[in-house]
Amino acid sequence: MVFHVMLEYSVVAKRLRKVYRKEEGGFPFRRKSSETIVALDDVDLSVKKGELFGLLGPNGAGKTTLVKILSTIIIPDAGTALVNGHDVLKEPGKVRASIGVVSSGERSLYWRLTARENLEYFARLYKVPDGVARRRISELLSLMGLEDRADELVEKYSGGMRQKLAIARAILHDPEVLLLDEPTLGLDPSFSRSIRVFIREELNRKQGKTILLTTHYMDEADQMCDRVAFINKGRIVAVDSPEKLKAMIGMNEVLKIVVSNLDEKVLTMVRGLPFIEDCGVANAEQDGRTMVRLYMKNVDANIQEVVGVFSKAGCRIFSLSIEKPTLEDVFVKLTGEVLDG
Amino acid sequence: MKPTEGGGALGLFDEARVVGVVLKKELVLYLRYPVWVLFDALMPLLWVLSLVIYGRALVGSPYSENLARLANTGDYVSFTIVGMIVSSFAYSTLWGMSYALRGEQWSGTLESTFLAPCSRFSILLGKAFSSMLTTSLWVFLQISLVSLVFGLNVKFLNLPFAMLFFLVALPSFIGIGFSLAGVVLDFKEHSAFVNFLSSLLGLLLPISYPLSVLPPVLRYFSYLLPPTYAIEGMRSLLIMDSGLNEVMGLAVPLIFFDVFWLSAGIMIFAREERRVLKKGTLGYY
Ligand SMILES: Nc1ncnc2c1ncn2[C@@H]1O[C@H](COP(=O)(O)OP(=O)(O)OP(=O)(O)O)[C@@H](O)[C@H]1O
Ligand SMILES: [Mg+2]
Repeated sequence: MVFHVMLEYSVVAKRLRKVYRKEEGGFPFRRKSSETIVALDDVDLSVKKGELFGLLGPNGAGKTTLVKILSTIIIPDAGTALVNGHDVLKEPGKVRASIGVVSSGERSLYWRLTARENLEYFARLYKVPDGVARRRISELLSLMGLEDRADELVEKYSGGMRQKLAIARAILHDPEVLLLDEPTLGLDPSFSRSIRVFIREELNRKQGKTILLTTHYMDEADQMCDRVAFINKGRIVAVDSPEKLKAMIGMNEVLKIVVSNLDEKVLTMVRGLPFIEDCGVANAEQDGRTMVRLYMKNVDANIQEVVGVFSKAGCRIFSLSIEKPTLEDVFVKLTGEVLDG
Repeated sequence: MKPTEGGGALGLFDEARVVGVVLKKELVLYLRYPVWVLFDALMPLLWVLSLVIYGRALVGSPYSENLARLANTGDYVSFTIVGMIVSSFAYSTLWGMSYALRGEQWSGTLESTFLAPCSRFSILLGKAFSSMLTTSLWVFLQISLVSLVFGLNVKFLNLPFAMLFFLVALPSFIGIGFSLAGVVLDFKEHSAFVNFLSSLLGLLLPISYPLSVLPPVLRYFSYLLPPTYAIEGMRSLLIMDSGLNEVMGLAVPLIFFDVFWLSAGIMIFAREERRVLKKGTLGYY
């Protein structure tokens, strides 16, 4: 049975729970306050071997906490996890040897070392034999398009180059499982795209690596992942393929409308319309505009009436569009909250 | 291609290579911050010079009758220099590790380092050795300069014995260093801590005066500190021309401290690491 689980799943989290206790005061008068944050609330999760699995959730949902538990640098309060068949609590060394981790932010490398020096250093820490390391480092540098600048200090790199180098570092020892925490955070769109393609095509499809990535960009999860788990306030609210998740909306069109002067009264009126199933409201922009997404049957036939309600209530309409449901819509529907806040 | 993991002679060999690569990396990084190098080179020199000049002002000559009565030598320049050298080495192991660890928390590289499947102690040792190595460089510079200016009566033939004696003391320093590294991992505070400790040690250790001038209460504390024995032992070897058998009495407590502090250091570091892993604050600055 255990063997079976090992073969099929590369990551299995079992009832993981993590509660942080805030601390007050400075050293040496620090004490734990009674305030607690439940970062993970009995999380169960399994990632199949070879799968690209996305963990999608808003800020503070618990994504980083989960990744850090899987990578053995946070100890959970309850539950445990198997990574590549090894228990993160009982065999942390074996887990570490079989995972590659890219953490969000870009400070995981030595800025005062060159790219090559960084990779050589970590190859030793991962006990990659010298000959193998040399070959692998030049392979990875050219795969990442960094070979021309391999002997430059990392502090001279752009954010995107550092992220590429961080990925190269993570796969230096050819691990079976990759844990990527917001791998495109803060990168410009074109760089993000190239990183996404690299992760999907090269690492997942070509090299067959099992990948768990976290993100709060819904289209990132939608485009890349075989399966997605929604996480909100430490709980997994749904797990499925992006297609199946979007099918949960129950309709294939969404009316997106950007208005000003929105208040609860208007919203109640809109919600009261017989053909409206549900609606999601984003946080107001600074200029007072708010994006509202209306989930309704037969958008064409009812668009006029919706517009009427908003204008009668004194809202100004800035834009109106009919869109396909996104993962964000599913998230809103499941949690009543918006992803990008 | 698969990384080896723990166990056996090969595991130990790999860990030794980790120590080596950490040492190398620390040195490379160190040399890339030229200002630090300059400060490190100058600071101990200024310190030792001011002590020596102060001594000359009080005594009026390079020889102190009073010191000769208290210790086995009246040459306070050599007396102080050896005290300084040994304590510099002691300090470099005592807080070299916690300092470097704190640096990695600051630069954000601690988590990625601790994600690697190697022993934390190999990483710490690499840091301790690199800090010892840079210290040796500056110490060598100090000795040369001071002996040029003031003249130094060191029994260089005894140098190998003195180094051997230092090796006897080293494990206890490393053990204390592990403990400090553990504490710093959690408390996220280094300089205030170390500034206080080094001032305290400056008082308790027989660096520029013999222990016999300390009030008895303080002297008891001095005898609890391994560097005390290292300084006394190496000093008798280097300037009083004692034989190895004469310093055996100082080596015995050191061996006891070695066992005690190494095991305490490993335990304390492991416990503190577990603590920060539970709090989730390993890489926090
Ligand atoms: N070490 C810690 N001590 C106290 N609270 C913490 C700690 N780490 C995280 N938290 C809190 O736990 C919750 C979950 O944090 P986590 O970083 O796992 O979320 P996340 O989904 O990664 O968010 P983000 O998208 O902002 O990265 C947040 O409320 C966060 O403030
Ligand atoms: Mg996060």
